[in-house]
Amino acid sequence: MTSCTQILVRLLYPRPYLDRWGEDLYDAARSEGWRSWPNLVASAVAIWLQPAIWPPRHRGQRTARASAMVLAVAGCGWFIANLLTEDADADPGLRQVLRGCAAALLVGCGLVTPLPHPNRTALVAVVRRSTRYFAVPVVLVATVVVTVHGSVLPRIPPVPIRLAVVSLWWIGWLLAVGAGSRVLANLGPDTVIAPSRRRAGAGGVVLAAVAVITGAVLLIFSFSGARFDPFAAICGALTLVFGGAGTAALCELPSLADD
Amino acid sequence: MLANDAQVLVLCALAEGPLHGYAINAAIEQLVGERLAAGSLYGALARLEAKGLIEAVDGVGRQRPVRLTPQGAALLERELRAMAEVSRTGLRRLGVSPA
Repeated sequence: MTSCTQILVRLLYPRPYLDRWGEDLYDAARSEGWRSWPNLVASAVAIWLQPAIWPPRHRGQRTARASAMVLAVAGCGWFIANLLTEDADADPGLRQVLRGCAAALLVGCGLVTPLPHPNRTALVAVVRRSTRYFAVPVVLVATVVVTVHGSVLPRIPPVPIRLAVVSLWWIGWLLAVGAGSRVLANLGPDTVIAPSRRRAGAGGVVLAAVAVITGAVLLIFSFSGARFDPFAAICGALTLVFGGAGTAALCELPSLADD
Repeated sequence: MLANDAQVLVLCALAEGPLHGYAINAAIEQLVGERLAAGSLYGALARLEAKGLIEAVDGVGRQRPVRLTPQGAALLERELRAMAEVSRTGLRRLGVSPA
């Protein structure tokens, strides 16, 4: 019979970690009973924040996972910053900083992205996997573009429809951030050439800087309006925390084996 | 320096030879009087394995024991020497002679 502890272990920890340590961890946690649960949660958070220590399937995967994590953090920070400042009377200076962050994000992505092997098979595999991951966000964003620019809606649509279209637009971009990270973390060495540690490190520094600047911008934004915006403040603080964790993961890379 | 005490305790437990998770925790209990919680123990094992300080050996049944690598043994020796030095200095400053 599946116990609560077993469900907790399965739900909390990433798959590669469970493949290596899951059964032993479950046995130990089961013998401690419910008293092990708080420690399991705290430990799982720490494990998720250090993807570089998950057991790798191939060389270069630790670097790829750490890069994917920083990319996800920077991408989410950029996403939330744009979401919050889109309709508000944000400071033009802040908008300028965010545009700079978006450009730096692209540079960072370029540095950490592995390149496909120069052959047809590898290229087809990369395109196929990217198509699978990016299909949903691309369809969502394209649907919004066609809906808005294709005269599908009346000139001034009702509020619920406007909200639905805007939500679809931002959900599409959020899913695109997640898809980019998953593609980056899961491409194998038979398909792509992993970035060198130096290149990945430089990309990681750029992406971590984007995460930190975006988090700081969100915090400034939360205090700069007429009223304090707690949602922006929480998002900014979380982006700073996760940006720090991503930077720590990248700094830890040189001390890790098998990569 | 290692990241935390849990990793040093695990390395100490493995100093005499390969052990699996349950036996490592029993050895730690013998050493310091209390066990590590499950999440902390396996978190420390994952980090030590990622750093190449411990490695799995073929086990009997489901559990795979782990052992110190040469790098792990060297690091543990350095850590223990540093801790011994701190202990000696601290006791001297307290005016207590080391046992």
